[in-house]
Amino acid sequence: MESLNSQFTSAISQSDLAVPIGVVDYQGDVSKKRFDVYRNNVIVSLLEALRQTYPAIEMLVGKDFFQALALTFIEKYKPTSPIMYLYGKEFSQYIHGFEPLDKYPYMADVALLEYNRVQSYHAEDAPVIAGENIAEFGTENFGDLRFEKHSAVYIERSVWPIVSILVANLGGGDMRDVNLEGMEDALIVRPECQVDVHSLQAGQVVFYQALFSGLTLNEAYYKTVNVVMDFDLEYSITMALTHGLFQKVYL
Amino acid sequence: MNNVVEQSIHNQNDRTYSCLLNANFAGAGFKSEHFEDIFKSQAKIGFFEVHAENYMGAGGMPHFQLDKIREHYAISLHGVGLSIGGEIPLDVDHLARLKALNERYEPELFSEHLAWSSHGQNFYNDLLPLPYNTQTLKQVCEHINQVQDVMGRRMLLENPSTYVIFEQSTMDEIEFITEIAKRTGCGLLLDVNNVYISATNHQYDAKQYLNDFPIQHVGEIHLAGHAVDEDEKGNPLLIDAHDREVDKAVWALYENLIQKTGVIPTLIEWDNELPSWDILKNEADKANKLLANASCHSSNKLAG
Repeated sequence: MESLNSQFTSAISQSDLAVPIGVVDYQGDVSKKRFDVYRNNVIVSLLEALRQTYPAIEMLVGKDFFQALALTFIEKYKPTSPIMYLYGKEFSQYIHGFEPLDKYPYMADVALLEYNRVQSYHAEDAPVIAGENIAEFGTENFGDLRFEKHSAVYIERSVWPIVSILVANLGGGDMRDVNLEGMEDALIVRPECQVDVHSLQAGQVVFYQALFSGLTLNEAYYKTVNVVMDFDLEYSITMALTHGLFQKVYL
Repeated sequence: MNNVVEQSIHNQNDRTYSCLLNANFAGAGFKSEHFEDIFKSQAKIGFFEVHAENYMGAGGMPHFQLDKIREHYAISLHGVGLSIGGEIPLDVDHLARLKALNERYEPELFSEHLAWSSHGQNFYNDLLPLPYNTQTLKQVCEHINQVQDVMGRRMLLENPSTYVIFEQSTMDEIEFITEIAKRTGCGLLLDVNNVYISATNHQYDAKQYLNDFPIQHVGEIHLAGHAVDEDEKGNPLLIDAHDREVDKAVWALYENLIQKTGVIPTLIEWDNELPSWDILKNEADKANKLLANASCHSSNKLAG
């Protein structure tokens, strides 16, 4: 026979299952309504966790649709950790396979951007490398410098204008102003504890990812210009330093 | 050779906090939305309680704010995800995270629930009920012993609010909790709103429950608001919603209790439908008045 906790969690997860054996009201009667308080608490709290992580998706699809979408997700995916900001990792992938949203192919990428924003918000604190830290090495050594990615930094590539979509929905903009033909790669940074999202120019993703992989500045530069003709090195380095992309620089 | 350049970073672990707890003033649940108002108003608050799980990320804003709060106020670390009342072994990784928070913030109070929330691979994000019998007593005591061993400190165990009872129970809640405190040496967190909810839902006398409660072990009191509903039979069904002001009936039970016991660190919990800081502070002020009376009329009978 199933343990009491197993019966309890099964009945929470499947509303058509009977209340577990022995669970009664004070008069000894089975009360579905009383048991359903637990069921509702679980579902509402998980729905709220998804709303917290995915506000732009909720704006995009509307409150009612989001709730229906989230409930089908919750039925399939329960948290595996008591740390709720980790919950909903599979939401982007789930949306990708969610047929009613087939007409909105950018939705899954926007969801991944939102999940990574939350992870950035909670990421480890680390010092930020600024211009003066680089200057200490002397200009003759610049090409040989290596960098370590800051723990709160995320990069996401997309064939959709995910940054513009996010800003249109969270920043008080208008989706009608977003050109859905435009591709955008996103950069998530966290200066001063606040998470910001920026779009990257051609080549920047290749360049930053090359640096994050441990290549020197020179190596990363040559790797980038091999694939992108009009790469702006100075702009990209300035942007990296102003937005705090690195937590370590070394020779 | 690696020539590493790192900016100096504030190391929170180097600090030692002094005990800031003043039980004559009620505490409040800390919410990040209130952070600025708390400091702007230089709020006179007994302590701030935080849900431990909200501070289990590595860094960022949550820790920035809690560091600031900790510099000026006493802290109560309140776990909601350890699943002490569950059938499965405690999650040792989660326990390690609690220990790390305990070491980082040196909270004056530390508590968890007589409830469970994890089973199999999953976490259910609610405080689920358990039957009270010799088997669950043994399980809960083993879990509490493990928590206190790992944390290196005494924990407070909170009485639950419940909507159902179990035919599998062979003892009542008071017997169960009294025996846990006796066997493990843990302290108790007495949630007066939970007492009122359970007493109403299961039709017993809340005042009698409080009279019978092993009050000598209580290290903290919780007060919160609840929602009112009814079951299929039309019997009252109160729900522990933490989304409004403390009910009059709960204030009355609390007043009666602290008149007898003297001051005990008291917390106003408000987790949903979050009000402005002023409204939450006003609830704490209501408790302050009762605490002031209690300290005048009664000496503190609790063991230290």
